[in-house]
Amino acid sequence: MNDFEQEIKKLVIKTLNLEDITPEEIDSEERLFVDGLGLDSIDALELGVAIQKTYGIKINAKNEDLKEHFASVRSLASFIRSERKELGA
Amino acid sequence: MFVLLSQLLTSNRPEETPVAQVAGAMKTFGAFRAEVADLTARIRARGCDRLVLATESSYAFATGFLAGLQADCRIIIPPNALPGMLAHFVTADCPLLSNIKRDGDLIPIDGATGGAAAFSTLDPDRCQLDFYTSGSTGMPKRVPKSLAQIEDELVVLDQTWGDRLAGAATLGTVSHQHIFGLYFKCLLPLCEGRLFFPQTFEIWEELLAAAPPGACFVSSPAHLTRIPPMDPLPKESAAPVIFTAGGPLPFEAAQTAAAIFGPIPTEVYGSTETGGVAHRQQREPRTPFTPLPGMQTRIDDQGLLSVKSSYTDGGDWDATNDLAELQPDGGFILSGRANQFVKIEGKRISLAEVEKYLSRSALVREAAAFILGGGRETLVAVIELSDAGWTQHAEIGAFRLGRALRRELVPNLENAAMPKRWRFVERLPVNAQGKRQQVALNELFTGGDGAD
Repeated sequence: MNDFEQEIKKLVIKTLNLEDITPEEIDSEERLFVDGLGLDSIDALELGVAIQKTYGIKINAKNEDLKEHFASVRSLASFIRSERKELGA
Repeated sequence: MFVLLSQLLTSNRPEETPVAQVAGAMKTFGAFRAEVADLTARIRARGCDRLVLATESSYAFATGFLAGLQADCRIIIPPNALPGMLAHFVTADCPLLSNIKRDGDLIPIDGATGGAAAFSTLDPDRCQLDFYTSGSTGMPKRVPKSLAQIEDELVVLDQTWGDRLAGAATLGTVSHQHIFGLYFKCLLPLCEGRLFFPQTFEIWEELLAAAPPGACFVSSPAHLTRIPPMDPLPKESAAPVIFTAGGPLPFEAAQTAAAIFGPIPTEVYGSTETGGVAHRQQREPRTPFTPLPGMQTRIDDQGLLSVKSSYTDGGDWDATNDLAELQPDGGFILSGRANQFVKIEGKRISLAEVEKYLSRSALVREAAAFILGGGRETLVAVIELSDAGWTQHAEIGAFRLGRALRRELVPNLENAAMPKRWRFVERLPVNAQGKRQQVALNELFTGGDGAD
């Protein structure tokens, strides 16, 4: 399994205090919100804060693909990677 | 220039006065008045005398609000626009006035301007509205108000903050279906001739990207305790006022918000029943609330705060559900809630209602919903599963079963009313009299074998 995706799954579980679920039980491609994992808008808010704090990136709301970036663990991982590259990190 | 709602449509407010920023374009007062005219004509043609007003857009709401009153309708305002909530109210005689889609019994708010209607100045004592809040029995509770009460309160809000808000656009993270959002995010800007943004922003990044410099924010503890790390706004774009309501804002969150946005958030204390009662900016911990102009306060024999003003019910004393310590100058410090309602993320939640909807699921035999204290208060549920429930439990696991139950609640409950943590048991712990054992329920989350 992709290590960075695994790291994101751990971050999701830890940040949102999800119980009774392990990183292995989250599919990298399943949708994080509504159906799929079933996270809600407050979860989105907290996840956004945690990602910015953990990876030192900025979430720019003018980025129209924001919803797509947060769609799944896989899209989130590639979004964070590309944002960090821009920062030169 | 403040104009009363009852006189707005017949006033000489200039056509080009801003009203709302809708989909990247500004709606002026001229456009607004034309849309209200068309809608008024359609409501009159329908011939109803009551309607339900529930929208996603605060601009659509403002149009429907004035058109409904112009058409002599009593307006029912539910606390949200969820299908299960609307089903309580909408009938052929009492249609839904909305910009959301629905099959039948709907008068759409669609921005059409073809129809014409003559406007009259409204009689604020005759115009009646029914607000609804979560009720203790699981049924929404009606809170009637006249337009006169609403106008009296808006005048007080304008007196208190109008100068500081002059010319400021307004953006919010709260819905106008609740009275705080309705007044601060929609009606006050409308009366004052200030631009408002009709959407309910879910994340700060989106709100800040849309906000013109010097805009006012209308928010809640849910959002103000979750501000992402960001640079402070430049001084010239700082917010003149940040309003928050629904629950106490932690002192640290108030300081963080001030460091980023400019001012210490102004907490407005009130309820649907009482309207706005008092306000404070937490310059230090335990800063007392200062009553709004014309608001009297006293403590009753049970220690509950009672309030009275021109816009409380019948202009009489109105008891709140909050315990308070009164200061010599009429200000007060809140010291807890006194009844069966709970507040999560600033929203008033009826546990009876949460349990009622959970019990309707085919997966559930019986449900207990309650609040777990310690740090941030969390709404949790203990579920006695049905046979079908245990089958699902074996197939998808406890976490996904909890999320599946949340999805079943979606048509009826708001996010804040959805349990965050779940425990699935063979039998809910009850004593010999069949009464629930709250200690045993708590221990399922905090200790013993049932924990994490």
